[in-house]
Amino acid sequence: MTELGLTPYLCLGAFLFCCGLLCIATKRNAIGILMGVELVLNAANVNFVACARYVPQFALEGQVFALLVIVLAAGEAAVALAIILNFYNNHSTVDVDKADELKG
Amino acid sequence: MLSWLLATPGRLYVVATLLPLAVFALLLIGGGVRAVCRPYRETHGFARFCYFFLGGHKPLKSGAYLATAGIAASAVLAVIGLVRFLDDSHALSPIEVEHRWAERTSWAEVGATESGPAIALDLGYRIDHLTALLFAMVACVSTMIFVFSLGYMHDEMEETHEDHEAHVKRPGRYGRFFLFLSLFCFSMLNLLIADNLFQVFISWELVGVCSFFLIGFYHERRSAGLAANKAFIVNRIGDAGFMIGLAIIWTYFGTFNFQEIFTKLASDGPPMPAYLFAIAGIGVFLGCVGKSAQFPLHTWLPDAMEGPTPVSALIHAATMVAAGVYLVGRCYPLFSPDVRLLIAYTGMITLFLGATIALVQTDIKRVLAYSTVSQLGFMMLALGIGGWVAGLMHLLTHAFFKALLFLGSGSVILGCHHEQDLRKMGGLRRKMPITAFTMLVGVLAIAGTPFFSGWYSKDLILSNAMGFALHDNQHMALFIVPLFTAGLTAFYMFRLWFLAFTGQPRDHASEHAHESPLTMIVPLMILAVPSIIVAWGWPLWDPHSSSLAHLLEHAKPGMANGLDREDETHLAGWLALAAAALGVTTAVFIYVLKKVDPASIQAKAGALYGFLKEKWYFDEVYDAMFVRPTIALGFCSARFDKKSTPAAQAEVADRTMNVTSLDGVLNVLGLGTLAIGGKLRVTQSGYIRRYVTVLMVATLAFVAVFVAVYFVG
Amino acid sequence: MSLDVVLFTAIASAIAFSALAVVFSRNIVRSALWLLFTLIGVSLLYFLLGAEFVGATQLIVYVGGTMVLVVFGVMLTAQQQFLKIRIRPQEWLVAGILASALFVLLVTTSFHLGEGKNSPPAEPMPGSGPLGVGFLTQYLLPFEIISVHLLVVLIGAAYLARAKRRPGGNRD
Repeated sequence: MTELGLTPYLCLGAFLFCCGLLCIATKRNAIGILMGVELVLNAANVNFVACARYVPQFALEGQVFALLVIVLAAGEAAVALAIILNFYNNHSTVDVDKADELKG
Repeated sequence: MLSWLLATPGRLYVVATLLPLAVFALLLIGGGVRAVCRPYRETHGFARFCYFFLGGHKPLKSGAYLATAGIAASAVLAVIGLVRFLDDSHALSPIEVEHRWAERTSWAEVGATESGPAIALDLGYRIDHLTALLFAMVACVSTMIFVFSLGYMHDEMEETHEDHEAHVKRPGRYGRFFLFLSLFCFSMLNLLIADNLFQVFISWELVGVCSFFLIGFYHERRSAGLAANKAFIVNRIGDAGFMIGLAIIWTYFGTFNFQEIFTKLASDGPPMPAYLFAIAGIGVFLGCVGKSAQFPLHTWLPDAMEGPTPVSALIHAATMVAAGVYLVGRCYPLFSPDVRLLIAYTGMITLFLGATIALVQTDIKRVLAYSTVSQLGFMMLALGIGGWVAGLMHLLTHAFFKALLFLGSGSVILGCHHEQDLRKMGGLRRKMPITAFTMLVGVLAIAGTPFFSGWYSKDLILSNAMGFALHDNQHMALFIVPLFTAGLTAFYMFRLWFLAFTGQPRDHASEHAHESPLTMIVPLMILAVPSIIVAWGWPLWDPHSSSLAHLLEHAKPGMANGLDREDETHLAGWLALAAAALGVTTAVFIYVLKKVDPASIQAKAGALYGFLKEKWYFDEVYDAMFVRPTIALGFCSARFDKKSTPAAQAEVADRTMNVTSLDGVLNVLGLGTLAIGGKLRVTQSGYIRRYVTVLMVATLAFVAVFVAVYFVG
Repeated sequence: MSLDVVLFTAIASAIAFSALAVVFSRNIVRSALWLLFTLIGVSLLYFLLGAEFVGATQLIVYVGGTMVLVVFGVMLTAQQQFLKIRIRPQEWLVAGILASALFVLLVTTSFHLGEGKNSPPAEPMPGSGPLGVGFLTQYLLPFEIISVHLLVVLIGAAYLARAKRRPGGNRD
């Protein structure tokens, strides 16, 4: 393994993705869940940029979409935090298990 | 705004039509705001202000005055329009008249393609002699009736009005009455100025729904509710035919505009197979049968007398029921000769039927109602045999004297404290002289006394009928029956007048009768004038020189001539006069001189009397033929649904799943869904990580399938 | 072993470690800190791949912007009882098994996808110039959509997070 191929990057992306999912699935703190989402998005971005590097047709597209994802993630974080703060204002907690008023 | 109005004189009519609509909208908004504010009148200041500004608990009087002012303005505009139109039609060429008195604009376009233009539904108006005359008639008669209603509906101004028939107390509905009346006026006027069948159809349904509301005005009374339903449902039967006719016309002509249809018909003949043309004609005629209460759909009109008397006068005597006759006259070129014969025979049956039933009715309004049915039959007959002018002229004259008669009966009813039975009246001539003599004018007019308006039109109808019958001896009945019925008409109308106004009071209600207030008397006196003079011409003694007839001649469609025979000897007129005189004499003998006791005639001809009294058993026959089978079918379906469960268990049966009956199967669907939903809702735990876990399982499955399909295999 | 491989190994292990730390640290403040390291690591990875512009953006927007937001959120809501709220071990177990299974599957997929792509092509990645031209020509629509999206987010977040009266307070 003298040369660096695409596979290690994809594996790293997969690892980040699984960590993100695990984070979402195991945190009760709303902000912790938000962090998990950030991890998942980063996993996708790693794949985008890696593919941009290794597949010549995607050289531009991969970067463009990575950038779009970064901007989207920023927006998503802002809205999510606003919602969390709102929730915190109303319920005095950030424990998502308390947000079960809509359950069946 | 003003410049728009003055651009074409025809827009006078548009304004006159829209005025009642504007009043309707104002009253509706006012009533709506009041109803909305009512619950908050104690808590919110603004709501309180609105509520009491709009009349508070009492019915709002100013709304009624507004409505009356609106329709009066319409009437003034209509008369101005009539005068200007007659001037124009004298001075200008037909094309210029068409240019000045007709406009149209496309309302909705359908089916625009690149290859062809869209087919448009138009809105438009077109004034010709027929429209101008009828418009003026409707607006003027409506004004009189609005003024009359101001007095007649006085009871409804009370804060709590007690209905003596339904034994309930309710708030008065003064404003609501004028609300519906305004909407009716708008619809009726719109129907008259419309230049296309679609607009006519919309107005047609609108007047129908107004009629429904107003018949059911006293909806606490069961009979009123039933009568309203009956009128509406029977009219639906006619309208189904109308819609079939419209569909055929739309399919083959591609337009609803009267002029375009008639031009195409005149140049190329019907663009469809003959039988479809006949069906289209019969369909349109069927609509007119329903609206004009012709046989066999006449049963709703007498029941419609449950409404307040001004409504009976306006809608169910003078204007709306005449809409059917108007439409037959307007669509005249659409009727093939066979269909015209059908119209004539329908009219003949109706006029005879109505007159015979009217002979024995004892309710003053029902006598008038059947007389209306009978007179509408005269009009249809005249149109059917080609007497286009005669039929429509009778429509105009009839509107005036029948409105007069109905308003007179309203005055009698109010004077006798809501007593409608002729047998309990009598001697009212001295108690209410003005009502008595104005009504006598109406009676003389409808009986066909010379120099009264009814004489001119009825004479014209009968001379047309005679010409038609002499031309083709097969159809002799078309002359004999109306002639005989003219005698019957004179008899039953004088019977009504003698029973009500002469002799001695037969009941305490008529003993304590009093003359009606001024708002009711004045319309009677005003309406009596056109009832006499509206058809006059010079020389006065020649019915064929009536100026009204000559005006209507201008609007006559080309196909309507050829059957109108000039009758040099006036034989038909003399015969009609003789028949009427005979009828009057008989009435005098029986009811004034009392040479013959009506009771003994009843006893001798018991079966015939019963037959007429029960209105030829039409209601019973329809009940047996249509209503009962329908109800029976309903019960059969219900049985099929529920497998004949006893009433006590029906409640349970509605909630059981039983796949052997229809309801059971539907219950399986509904209750099964409910049960599954109940199970599934448990999975909505509200925990995000549960959802994410499920999501992970799903992703896992997807990726596994992906790997299996693309990389392993 | 080339320099690339060495660098990748170092950065990737750092990323992997800090990502695991994000998941497993009990204190939410520490998780935020570890997430910061993860994001920095990812941006280093972009530099390694030759995507300087993306890497820089990652540093500025993510590390400089988003992370600050997250840290603010943590601080605004950080009361002692919320810092360490935890879930039951069984749920940990289920989530862990599922995540590892998914990881195995994804790695399998990665190996298949990465076949034959053992070395990067010779030509360098397009820099910020072609990216800018691309955004204003070929990718104008997504660019505009994301701009409007950001505006909406701005307004929405401001609306949602504005100071409100508590329920039960004096109304009207």
